Amino acid sequence: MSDKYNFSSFSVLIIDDNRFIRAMVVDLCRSFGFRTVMDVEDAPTALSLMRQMPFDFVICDWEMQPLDGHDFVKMIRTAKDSPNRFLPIIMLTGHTEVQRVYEARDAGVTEFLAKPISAKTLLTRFCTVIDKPRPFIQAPGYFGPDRRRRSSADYTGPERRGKQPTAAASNGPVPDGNDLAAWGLSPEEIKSLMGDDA
Amino acid sequence: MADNGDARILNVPSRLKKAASRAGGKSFEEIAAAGDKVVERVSMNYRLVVEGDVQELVSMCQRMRNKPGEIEPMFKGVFRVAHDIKGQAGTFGYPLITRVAGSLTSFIERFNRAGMNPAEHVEAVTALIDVHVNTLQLFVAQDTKGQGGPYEAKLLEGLTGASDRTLAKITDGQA
Repeated sequence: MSDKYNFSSFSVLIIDDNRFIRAMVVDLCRSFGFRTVMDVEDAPTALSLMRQMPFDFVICDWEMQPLDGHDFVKMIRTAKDSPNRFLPIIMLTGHTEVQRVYEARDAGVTEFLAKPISAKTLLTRFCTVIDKPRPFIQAPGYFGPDRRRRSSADYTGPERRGKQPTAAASNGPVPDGNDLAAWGLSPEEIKSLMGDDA
Repeated sequence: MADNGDARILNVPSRLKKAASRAGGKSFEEIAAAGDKVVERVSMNYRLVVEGDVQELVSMCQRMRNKPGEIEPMFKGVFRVAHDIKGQAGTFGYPLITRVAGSLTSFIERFNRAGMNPAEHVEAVTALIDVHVNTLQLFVAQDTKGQGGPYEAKLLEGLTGASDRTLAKITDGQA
């Protein structure tokens, strides 16, 4: 993690249909020092706004109408007319199930933050995006940030990229222990993604 | 760009790191402290918000009982409001309220996953929503912050049990 952060040149768009939580996230981002903080209550309005001006970050909720956050992320990552396929997207959601983390990851979110949130957990997500930019992966059925959040120089096993399970293939029980490695996430990373680092 | 099996790896240049390193930055702790003040300020208004949310749940539950044509949209509405409460309450110092709302959203998710129709089980479903709403009203009225004690744990345990029993009865065709 860097010593100091200057957010004064950054812009962020917040998409949440709940006015109260949206207002709080706006105020949080302003307190962090963002130059531009804009908010909308639905994904179509967000897409329209994103075509008019660029943003450095997007924070979006999962449960929204008419387009939910999951489909919004997929649209940003894969639509031919996407305003920015490489945009860092932080999914901020009340869903706390591990399965949702996988679904969000497979849609192409950059970071996942389960509510309840704190200033520290939200700030941590921004700092992770800044400090640890991940390459993008273009693979059959996936376009988005590298879903492998760890790398091991000691790994000598077979290359499995392209064979990682997708959300569609993972509707069964969530694996635990060593099986999680096959999903590209360690238990610690799951905990971190879920906001347990508060 | 690198090829790696079926996947292509795109190393996208990011301007974020350089821009965030400009002079005039603050430490993580300083920035987080400024954010904590925001959460603290917003928290003062949260009780009014959650009171309104709980009242909305009461109203939607009544409409489920009284207006058969509105059962499905109201059931979805109950999930939406409970989901909001679940996400917000813990942020503002009410983790017990988050857990009660989470129990209700969990019940609705399990109900939906089982492919059941709320219109066919109105009495059982609204009774379960009522139990959760009553518990929410109690915790809101008492301004219950923190994790609570044995009494609160017992209430939460009771909600889980009630959800399990209701789902079992519905599945067995008894409700």
